[in-house]
Amino acid sequence: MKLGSFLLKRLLLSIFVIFGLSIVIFIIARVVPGDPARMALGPRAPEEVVQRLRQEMYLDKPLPEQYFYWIRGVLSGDFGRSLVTKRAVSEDIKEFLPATMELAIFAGILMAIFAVLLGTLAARYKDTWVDSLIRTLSYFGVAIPAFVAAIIFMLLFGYYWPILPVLGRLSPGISHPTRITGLLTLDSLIQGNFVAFWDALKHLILPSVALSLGALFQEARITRSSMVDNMRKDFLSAERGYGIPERVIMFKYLLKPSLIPTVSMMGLDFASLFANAFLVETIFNWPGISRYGISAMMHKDLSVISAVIIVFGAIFVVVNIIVDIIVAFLDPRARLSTSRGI
Amino acid sequence: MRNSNQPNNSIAISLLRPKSIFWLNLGKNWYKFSRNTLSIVGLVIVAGIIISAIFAPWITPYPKHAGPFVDFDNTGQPPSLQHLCGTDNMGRDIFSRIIFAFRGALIMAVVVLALAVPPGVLLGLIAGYFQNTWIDTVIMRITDVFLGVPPLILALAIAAMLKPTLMNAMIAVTVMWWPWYTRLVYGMASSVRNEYFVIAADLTGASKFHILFREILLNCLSPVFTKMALDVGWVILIGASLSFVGLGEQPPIPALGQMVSDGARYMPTFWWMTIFPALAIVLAILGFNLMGDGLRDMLETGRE
Amino acid sequence: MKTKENILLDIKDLHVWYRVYGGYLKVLNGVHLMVREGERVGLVGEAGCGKTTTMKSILQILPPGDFHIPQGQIFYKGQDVLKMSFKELQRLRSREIAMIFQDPTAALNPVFIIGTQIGDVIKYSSAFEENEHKEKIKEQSIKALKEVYLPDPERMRINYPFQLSGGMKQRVCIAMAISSPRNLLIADEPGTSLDVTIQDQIMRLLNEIVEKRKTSVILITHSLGVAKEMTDRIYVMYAGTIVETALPEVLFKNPVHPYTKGLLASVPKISGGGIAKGIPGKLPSYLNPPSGCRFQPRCEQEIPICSEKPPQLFEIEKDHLVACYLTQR
Repeated sequence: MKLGSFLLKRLLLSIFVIFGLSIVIFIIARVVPGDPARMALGPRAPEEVVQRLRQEMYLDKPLPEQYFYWIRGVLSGDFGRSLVTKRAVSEDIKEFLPATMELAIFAGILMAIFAVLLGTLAARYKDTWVDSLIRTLSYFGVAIPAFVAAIIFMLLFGYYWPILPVLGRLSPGISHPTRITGLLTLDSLIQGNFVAFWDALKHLILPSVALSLGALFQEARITRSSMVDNMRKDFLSAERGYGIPERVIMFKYLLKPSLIPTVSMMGLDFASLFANAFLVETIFNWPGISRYGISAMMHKDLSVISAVIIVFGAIFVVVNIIVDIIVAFLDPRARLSTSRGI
Repeated sequence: MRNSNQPNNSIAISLLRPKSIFWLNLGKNWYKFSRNTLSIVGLVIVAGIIISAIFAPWITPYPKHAGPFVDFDNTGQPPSLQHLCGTDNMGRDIFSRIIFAFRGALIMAVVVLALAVPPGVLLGLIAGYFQNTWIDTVIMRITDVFLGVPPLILALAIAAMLKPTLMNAMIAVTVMWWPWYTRLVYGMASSVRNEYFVIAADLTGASKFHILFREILLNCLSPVFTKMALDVGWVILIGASLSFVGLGEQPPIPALGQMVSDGARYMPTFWWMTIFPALAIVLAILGFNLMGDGLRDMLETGRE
Repeated sequence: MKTKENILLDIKDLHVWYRVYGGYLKVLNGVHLMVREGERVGLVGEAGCGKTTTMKSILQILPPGDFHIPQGQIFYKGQDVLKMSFKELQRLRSREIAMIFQDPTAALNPVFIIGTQIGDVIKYSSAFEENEHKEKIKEQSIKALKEVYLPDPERMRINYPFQLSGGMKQRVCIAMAISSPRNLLIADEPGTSLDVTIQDQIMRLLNEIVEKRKTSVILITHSLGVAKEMTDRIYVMYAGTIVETALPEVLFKNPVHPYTKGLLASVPKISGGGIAKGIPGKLPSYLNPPSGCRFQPRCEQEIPICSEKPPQLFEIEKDHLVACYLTQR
């Protein structure tokens, strides 16, 4: 199957998935006990006002109709209004999403680099102290949830050893670069503002490490076992036997097949980063969409909840497609089947 | 020909039979498990957690502290011989509360797995058996939708929508858990389905029921068991994440994540209030992971 | 006349051990093998007797880290492979010796197209001649693919291994081995994993190539018939030792070692005689091998000294060597 039609198929599938997701979310949101209009206005608002809001929110119409109005709004970018911030949800998303995106991308880069590095080292020096060290670190790394790591970092770097900042995205006193992408590092670089760039970078380090820790070590283990498996495969001995130099064998013929399971996992992990970020965002006071969404859940701010879940779902889907593309590039056998599981 | 990369399911199967070969071969199976010291460490940790959780009221030094109890004279005591992990802001012994918190965590894990695994496995079996028909497509697409949501988000959404109790948290986690088993079993079932012995059974007129369960399922068991063991650790993690934000067991019943969150406010001076519950979480996950790995070595010796 | 100068490969007393949990698998226990220029040598033995291990030792491509060579020498053109520097080994692999693996599916990297794989073999086998021009490499790879009678070589090059049939893959492997001139080809049971008609084609192809190029060959096979037809000398291997070697006609007419005799008797004859008689028993454990002759546990004619120490190869008549105490009276 050529790459083009493969892509198209995945795309259609993904749209279907997102629609399914929106239906599920919608149903859950409407099934929840409680009157959204009443909750928005508070217990003391007069009944007529609440009734008017109900009509505005189409709450008196049958469910499928409500869904229709909602989807229509979503497709035109209108997610409704947040009960908490009292702003249009799309405004809130525009403000908070880049923060999480920056965090996730940075964490993703860390994951990609270190997982491959550690995994390759462990495979290359298999059964030596290097391997054992990495394996032990992996067990711990995987067992430490993001919020525990975050708390420990808070303790270590916030109080005992303040070499890295622990709160927010920029230190007070550093001026924000003007907003182009919303990614502070990128924006400040574009504008040549190296002070802000460096500061933003420093602020990124701890939260990204906390966020990526578990996934990083999991991926390192997969890389290692994948490499070890492939190292004993006949095709490597054959290639070596034909006189192909060792470095070509290592970096070309061993690496490519070994990366396949790793990349799949990395994609999944990266997509999850966005959602799992909320704990880290809360602890480090990072103004991201994850934290925003979770607080909406606490306050039963339905429009926000649905919007955030759709956004996450869409991100998930997009990342999965990209991963599928990369895997299809790496492993030709995968092009013949849609990704139906590991 | 049986692909040697497929897991060896005979041990897993024999676990299910009462007077089974598993116990007769205990020596040999134990050897496989214990080849790796880390698995033993995992087993010890897990056993410790389970036993202390079950016998919590009798073995903890201050069982009453895990309920409505306050002792404002004793708040914020650092770790000592009387209070191994110190006391919290209400004077309660943290060590005892941690042990009781394990109870909730384990119950959650057991319930979630008991509720999520059977339907998940069943769906995977059915989809795998009827592969490439509409049944397969429908089941797997629905599974994909559920998998398309970042797991934590779904759990949080559900838990938040409903009242924050342990029961609801369990429901939320269950809903997001079953698709993983469906996918796992589907992958195996669809490849086993094409093996000759299944086709033979089909041709000789065995009932679908028989084929599904006796032929296909029994050949998928090992990875399912392994995954279940490992999943206990992950459910504990998710449960802790949920209780960290207040969803799950409500105070005064202790929950690990909740204890971490409560104690975070008093950092760094009263560091023990956060660190010990946090370490407990890490220990639990570590233990189940190590044990799960050992289990995998024991059950899935398809690769030698 | 066969003088010492014509000896291409000379394996002397090779011992190879694999490190496993619980000790060592002492697979090879003193292998002696010699290949002269232009000679076709057959290595016959049952599955698991160490044939592939021996061959892999020549090229030093045993799985890294897991093996140990306590004693032995492998002389290629007078130089001991086991003592070669990395560069010399490289040269050996890229220009002197090539091995065709038993299972072509396992021997080809699944994620690279054929063109890349065969291209790299060519590229690095001519490293010293700076033969890196892409066009020249492409030309040469097409030429090699044509030589093994692969249809439409241009299109074949952009295929992935999984898109080819078993027979085609085996041909590709052969093409890779002959893509640049070599002095010694090692063919490890070519075609055994394929069905019989394809296997036959592959053997014919090999034969043709060898005749055309006059390369030396080590042909590993478990079929005595094939060995008889296609080799100038046969070595019979059992449990990591060479038990007998002779010219094919001599071996068939006058087998001396009990194992060889058993092997020949195991071949069913269409001309009658009922079901062939096998050799009872199986290969010894390599973890705890017998301290004497490795065939001794299965041998019907053993004498006391057989279990004490392994017998050495002994020339009982011209060009016919046997490792058995029974012959040394």
